[in-house]
Amino acid sequence: MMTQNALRHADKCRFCWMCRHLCPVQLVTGRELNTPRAKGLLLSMNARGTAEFDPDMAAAMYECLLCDACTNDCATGYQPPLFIREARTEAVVNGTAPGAVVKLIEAAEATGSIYGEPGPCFGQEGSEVLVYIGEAAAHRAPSMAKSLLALLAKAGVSAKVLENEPVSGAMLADLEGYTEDVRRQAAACAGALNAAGLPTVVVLDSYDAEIIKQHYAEWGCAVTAEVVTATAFAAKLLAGGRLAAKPASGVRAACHDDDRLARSLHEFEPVRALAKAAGYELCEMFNHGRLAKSCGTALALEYMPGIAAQVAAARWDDLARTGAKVLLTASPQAYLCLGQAVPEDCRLIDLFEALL
Amino acid sequence: MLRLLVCLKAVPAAGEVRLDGEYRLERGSAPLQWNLADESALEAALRLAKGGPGPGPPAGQPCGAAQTGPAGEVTVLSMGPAKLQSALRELLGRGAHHAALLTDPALAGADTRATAHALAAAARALGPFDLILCGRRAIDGETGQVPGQLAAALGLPCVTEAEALDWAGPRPGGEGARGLHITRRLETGSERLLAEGPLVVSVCEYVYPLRLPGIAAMRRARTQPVRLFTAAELELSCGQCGLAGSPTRVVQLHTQFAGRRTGPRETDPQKAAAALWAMLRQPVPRAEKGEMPKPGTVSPAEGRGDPAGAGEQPGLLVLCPFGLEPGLVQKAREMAGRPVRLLCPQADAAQAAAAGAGIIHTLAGPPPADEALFADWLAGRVREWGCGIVLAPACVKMRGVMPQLAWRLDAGLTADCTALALEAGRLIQTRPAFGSSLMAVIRCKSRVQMATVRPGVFRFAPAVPSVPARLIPETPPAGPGRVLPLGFEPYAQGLPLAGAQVILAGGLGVGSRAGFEKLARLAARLGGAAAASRAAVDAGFAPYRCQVGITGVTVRPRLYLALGISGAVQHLAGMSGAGIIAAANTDPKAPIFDYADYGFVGDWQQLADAWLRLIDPQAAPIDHPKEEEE
Repeated sequence: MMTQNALRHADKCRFCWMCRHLCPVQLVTGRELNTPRAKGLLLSMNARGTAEFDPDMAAAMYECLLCDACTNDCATGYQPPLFIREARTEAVVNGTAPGAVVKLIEAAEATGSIYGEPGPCFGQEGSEVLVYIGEAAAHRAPSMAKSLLALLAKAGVSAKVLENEPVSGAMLADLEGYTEDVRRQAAACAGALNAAGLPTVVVLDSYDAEIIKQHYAEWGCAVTAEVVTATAFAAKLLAGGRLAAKPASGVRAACHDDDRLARSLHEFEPVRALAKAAGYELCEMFNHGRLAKSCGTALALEYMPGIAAQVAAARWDDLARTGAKVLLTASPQAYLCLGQAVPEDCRLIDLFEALL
Repeated sequence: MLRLLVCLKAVPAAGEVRLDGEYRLERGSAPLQWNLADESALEAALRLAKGGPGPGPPAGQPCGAAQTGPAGEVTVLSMGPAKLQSALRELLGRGAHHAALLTDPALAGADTRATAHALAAAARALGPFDLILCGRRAIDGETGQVPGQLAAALGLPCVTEAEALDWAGPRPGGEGARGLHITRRLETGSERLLAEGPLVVSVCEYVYPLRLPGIAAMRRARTQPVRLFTAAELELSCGQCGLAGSPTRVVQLHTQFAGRRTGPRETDPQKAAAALWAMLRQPVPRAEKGEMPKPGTVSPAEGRGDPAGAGEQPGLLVLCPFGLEPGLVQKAREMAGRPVRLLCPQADAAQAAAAGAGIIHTLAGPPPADEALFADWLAGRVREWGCGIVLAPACVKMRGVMPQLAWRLDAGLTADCTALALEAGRLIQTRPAFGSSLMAVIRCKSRVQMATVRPGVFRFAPAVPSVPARLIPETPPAGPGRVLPLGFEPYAQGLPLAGAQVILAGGLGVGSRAGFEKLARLAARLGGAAAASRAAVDAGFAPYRCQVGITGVTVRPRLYLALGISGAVQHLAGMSGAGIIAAANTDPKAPIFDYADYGFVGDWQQLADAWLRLIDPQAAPIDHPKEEEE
């Protein structure tokens, strides 16, 4: 039951193979099936009745990080994540989704979180801004959440974190597409954020920021407060003099651009401003900024840990080509993924912590 | 149990419009998507079926979350190729309970009347229904006529352009049922109505974002049948449906898109502000105020039928019951070659005579809120006066009344014309379609020919001398009918877009709600109106009523200043008719510059401040937005 719009996108490939050279999953697995183009071809064949939507096809649809690199460089201007996301919906509806994915969805249905348990309590009761930590950071990268809160405290910002923070829907949306179940999670989250009544919501994880900023209003559950990413907010504190820059250390380092922050939210300068303020001498990796290459996602780590580790290792290879030994990130999901594969002579730095 | 019907149209995906040799849309091969306003109608129906949607869901609460199960049933109905069955199943996955599809080659090429005829037959076969909802207009044809004609075919009242719906009391069928509260969007404000069902309501796009499909509902929908109807099953004869049953016919079609203007570009905000200030101060021809004709003054050609007496031309009537459109009256007079018959408010009679009306039927009071009642009355007058051509301005209310009137007169009706001509007694109508990318030339083959005309397209030239006119007082039908007016609330801020001579429009580049407020304050200082692109509305910077483009309003101001707007085709379609287009954008490659007479490459706020200093050197600059630009 794919929409005509999604099938149109799946059907219009002109075989330029550009996506083949950009897809971070295809680059590490070398499997033709992992190119966005191949996924489109499979769905076209299914729509024409020449291929069955079976578990193999469904598995192929999940071997993708939805990082949007293919869209960014698609010669025909089409958007593979659009049909891949719908194909995931189809897989869940017809019961062909991989077992590991089904387990995560069932956990989300039962407990609200794909991790199947409530997140930690950060015990913050401020009155200036509401900080939204997010599911991945709360469960898997709480240290980055803590360093952000400490940085805000250092800048004199009175920050609040919800005691039982609801999930944003970003994880479920990547698992089963944009469904009513995701919208319900979004509506509950928007309700909680609005009920807090603070004028600004600072969102730590770009995956959450993307869905809140770009989908909530469309789904009829807009957040009334101003929503800003943690990186943009911290950069603003720096610019406003509420945070002081550290002296230059002369250490060469590269910033990893989180793909949703860079491509969906078009934000890459604040991260660099933070890196410079932390005293690093910046160099750029291959495919940065709008061309940012994904280093994996928290979700991928749960249902395809092997591929996620390969993708993270490939990003460290990109760093090695620059000659730098330090990789900086302000994304909890990137911190989590890159942290799985840190080479012996390299360091992964949490930018919020570096500014403390 | 409450029963609701939602009529949905599958429209071509943007950029995929293909036409056959008969100027009919090729729906078989084109990728289709549900019309945006129809989706809004479906969401409203799903919420009404669960008790009532109100103005929108409370923040954070899913629609119908408080309800335990469906209290009513929603049926979705469409007309089109058989491939729409799967798309209708997707709507079942979104919460509709039943789906039906009218699919038959005999239905192809139907105009709005033939479409309404077929939908009415299907509604009778599926019904009865307590409420029928449609989108206010489709983004391809953009006529907005089907809801009114469908209502007329079913003998129901109709309210168009609803932006909020809620049950007024206990649900219909329950004790003390009081019908439906409807908030209707007009040009200058919101009208609150109370309507008794069953009735037809057309719903604006965006007001009720359609819920997403749920996994469980999609699983159920896989096994649910879509009921199929052919023309024969609905006992529709060839003469009633499809091209053959259509009283209007497209006789010519040509692509016409906003002409490339590619004017000079400036990077200095002071110089750009000076240039724009000069454009703004160019003199505008003003409408001449005519002298009030004396009651009883007899025109040269008084009498039943043609105001000019016996002749080949059919009698021409202009309907302006909600306010005079002098340019249209003047155009009608020019086409007819003599004074025309007009219905307008009493207060407008003087200007009407100056515009060329020969017999002026003046309404002492406002027409009833029940447009069906008014259409009945008008149909009687048109027959009595023997008019063969009926024209009206395409204001919201007349676009609601005219389809109902056309149905009663068995007339062909063309919506939102931008050019008119009369050839051998036949009206040649030109109108934009598919977001103004195509211009269609349309003829009516019916005895009575009708058209609504886009407001402002015919400018009133003061040179035409006043003519002696006869005033005939008319009493509009007494209400209340089945639709009652409850109140009218003018829009709180700024001028209405319709008719504004200067428009300042903001896009994503204005950066924030505060940015848009600044733009609106500048517009107010310039005596103009504030508008927005769809991207800015989607981002929450501006309200939907400010949206210009395919899915918003179409404007034709003297000066249109696009600030921080990239120039998407959908936006250009709504403003390309402006006299002068100026644009400000930081991106020198923004497409808007290709369609602008003048461009400023830079930050729009610098331009705004420079402009303000030019107007009043002592004035403090308008506050800069507090929020960060995105």
